[in-house]
Amino acid sequence: MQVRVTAKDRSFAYEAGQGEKVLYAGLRAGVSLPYECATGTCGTCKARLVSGEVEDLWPEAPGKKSFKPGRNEFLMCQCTAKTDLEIEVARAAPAFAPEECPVGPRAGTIRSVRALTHDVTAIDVALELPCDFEAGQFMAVNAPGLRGARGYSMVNFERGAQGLEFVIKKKPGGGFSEWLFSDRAPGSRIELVGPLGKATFTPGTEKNLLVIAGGSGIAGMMSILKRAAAADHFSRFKGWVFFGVRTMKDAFYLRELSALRSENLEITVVLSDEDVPAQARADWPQLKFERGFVHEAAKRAMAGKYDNVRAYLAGPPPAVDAAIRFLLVEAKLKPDAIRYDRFS
Amino acid sequence: MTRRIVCRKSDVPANGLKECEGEGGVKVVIANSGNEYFACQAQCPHEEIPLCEGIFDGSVLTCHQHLWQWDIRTGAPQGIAEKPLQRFEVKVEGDEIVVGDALPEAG
Repeated sequence: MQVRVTAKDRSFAYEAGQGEKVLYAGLRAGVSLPYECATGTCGTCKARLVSGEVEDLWPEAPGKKSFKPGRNEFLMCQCTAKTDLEIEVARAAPAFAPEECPVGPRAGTIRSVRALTHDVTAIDVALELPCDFEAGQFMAVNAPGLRGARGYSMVNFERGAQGLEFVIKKKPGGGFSEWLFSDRAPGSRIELVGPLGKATFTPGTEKNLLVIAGGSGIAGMMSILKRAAAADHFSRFKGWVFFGVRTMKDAFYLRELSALRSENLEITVVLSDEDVPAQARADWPQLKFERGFVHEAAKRAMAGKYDNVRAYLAGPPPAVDAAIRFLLVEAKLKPDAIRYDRFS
Repeated sequence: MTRRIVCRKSDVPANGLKECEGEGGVKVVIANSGNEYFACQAQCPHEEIPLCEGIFDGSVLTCHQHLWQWDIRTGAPQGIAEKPLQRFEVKVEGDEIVVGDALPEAG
């Protein structure tokens, strides 16, 4: 099927396969169509159907909440082309820059499932074909028998990656996470689309890095920290990591974070629901601990240190919003110094 | 000229935002900055996010979704914002905030 697009900046066309989402086909063709979550929740990939017919695979998608009747709008991430299409996109859709990692459908097998806490699990996926991605990117992941994809950030970083590691938070009644926590997951084949997301770190970023992450939001930040450390970024720039969890029972990756810590990279674990146990400080001498909300701990510790800072944010939306608020209003960071992808 | 009482001064938090209904059901956001009040369109010109949920420091209004920013006095886009903000005339009459006609786009 041919998809002809009139975007804000130009017109172009690409081919979409049978059953292939309009958004994913465009990204695969190297077109930066607008998107954020790519999984039906944010509404950024909305387009107007001028002619042709689409099949909507998730008519109740929350991303449609801003749709107004009579505009013939659809979400490119949830619809496939039943015929050739002519569509309009209100935003610019430039071609991928040459250095951007190609996006496409991928397949893999769940190699292992490892509990990190009582309700957080790491899964390790062996890819059928190696894949390049940037630190901080995510994949739209589809599991067998479950409707709809979910976005998960890669924890690892390497070029030509043979495998991908994801962190999954168990949500009560969340079909996807419950399936992953079940014994059916290991050995299962899963489908992925990606890499996706723009909140990335690449070496050559001449900035001090501030990372504020809540819960499983630390996943993509691990990739960023690993890449930055491997590129020796923290010999020339400072880094501050604030990792918020409820209690020590909910904390994970403390060994990995301890190993990353260096003179210029300070890592603070922030507990919202309990005082810091003395045992935590004894067990993890490389790490700092604080009690409170993660954005408030970051605000206290960062006062006066915002020169040449780029902030990366991830985690539950209210925590990300609270961090954005103080970074703009109190820290006076410019919007382009604040990086995050809204996909949870 | 249109003219409509949209709210009371006490309805708008200090250095804060409040969504109100203007003439003909058009939604507007009232912003307070010290003794001054400003009115602008209620939805972000980018993705139709309610601007009353945005971030306001008394002079710069930021949409919380993608961090588009504007000078509340002129509606002029700042930073990564690509479009200006539609503003409306505002008068304070006693305790009441009165919104009038749309103002010309920031040059």
